[in-house]
Amino acid sequence: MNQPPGHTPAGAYRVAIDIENHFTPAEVNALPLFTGGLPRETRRQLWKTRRMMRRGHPSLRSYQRSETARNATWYRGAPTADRLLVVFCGTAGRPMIPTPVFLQFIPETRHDVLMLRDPTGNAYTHGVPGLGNDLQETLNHLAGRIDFTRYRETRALGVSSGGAAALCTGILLGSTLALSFGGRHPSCSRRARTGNRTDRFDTLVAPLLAESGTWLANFRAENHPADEEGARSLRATLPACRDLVVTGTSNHILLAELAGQGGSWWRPHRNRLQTVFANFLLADRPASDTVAP
Amino acid sequence: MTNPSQARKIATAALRANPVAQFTADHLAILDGQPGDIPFAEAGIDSMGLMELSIWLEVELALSITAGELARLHSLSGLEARIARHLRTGA
Repeated sequence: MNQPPGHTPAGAYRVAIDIENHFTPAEVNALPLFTGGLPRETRRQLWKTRRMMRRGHPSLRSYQRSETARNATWYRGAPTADRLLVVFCGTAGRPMIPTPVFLQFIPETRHDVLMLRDPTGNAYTHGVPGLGNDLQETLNHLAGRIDFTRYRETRALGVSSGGAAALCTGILLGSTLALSFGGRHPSCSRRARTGNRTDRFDTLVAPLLAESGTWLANFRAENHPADEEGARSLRATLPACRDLVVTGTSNHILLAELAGQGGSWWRPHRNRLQTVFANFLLADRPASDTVAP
Repeated sequence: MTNPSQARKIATAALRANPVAQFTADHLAILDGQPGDIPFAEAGIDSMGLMELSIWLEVELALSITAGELARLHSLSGLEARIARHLRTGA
């Protein structure tokens, strides 16, 4: 799609989306939002982002951004970070919430975050565009740019069309844990199955499944039929993948739902994402197989 | 005189192209031409989805509309009506 001109609402949104998909919390916080420079609609959107960032942590997480490749951004935390979190974004190019908001939920003292994107709609069946032609090749390319051995542990998280890629990457890397939110197997994705072989992940992980110790789970909204179908499609190829239901919601954009996006200052929505991350993603051992209501 | 189906066709193309939208089988049938409506929220079109919709409409149709206005249109039918007005009047 062509780029809209910057002086129109759409042009302003393109700027906001680019910032929300790539910037660190500190970079967003440093933007001048009171006065000119950025278009008005961009500033309006970024005020919301800043407010939502506080839901993750009251003070700014100090991540440093490096664009490792066209579709791979490496957010380096503190020198003490000994865990690498590999994140597979959905087709929107973000982990269901703006990237700086997501980073606010992840302690930088413990983590570096590698954010991957597949804007082609192929759900990573051909790997990350520009980094090989399948997931294994992508991981090999990344290992040439980032020293994976410096981390004590690697974990994977994927959302929507990135969910299956995260689960498979967890197995390929021998991760302790891999989580999917609103994920689906590529065979279940309308966009990914158009002109693609959808069994490419299955072929890669099949030899490893019997021995894999990776703790796998897919979180899904209770009242979302397409996500229920997605969960079934994941279990068909990854029987060890737990089906964790978030009750009382029909929202596919699950991380936004859990973080309480859409509330207002006079009627804030509950923020459950801290608890879910603390019990699963960040825990040394996942707390349980159920999600607290 | 605008052909009403032209506005419908553009509105469905706009939703199909939305990277945030998630459609059920019922939604897909509607996008394929069956009668019915798709509320934006039901298809998972959140604030980012509305921004993407605004970008698509401007690039593909030269229709400049804010995400807030799109939210008030609420659904595929609302969008179709707005596109029909744009095709008819240029506004």
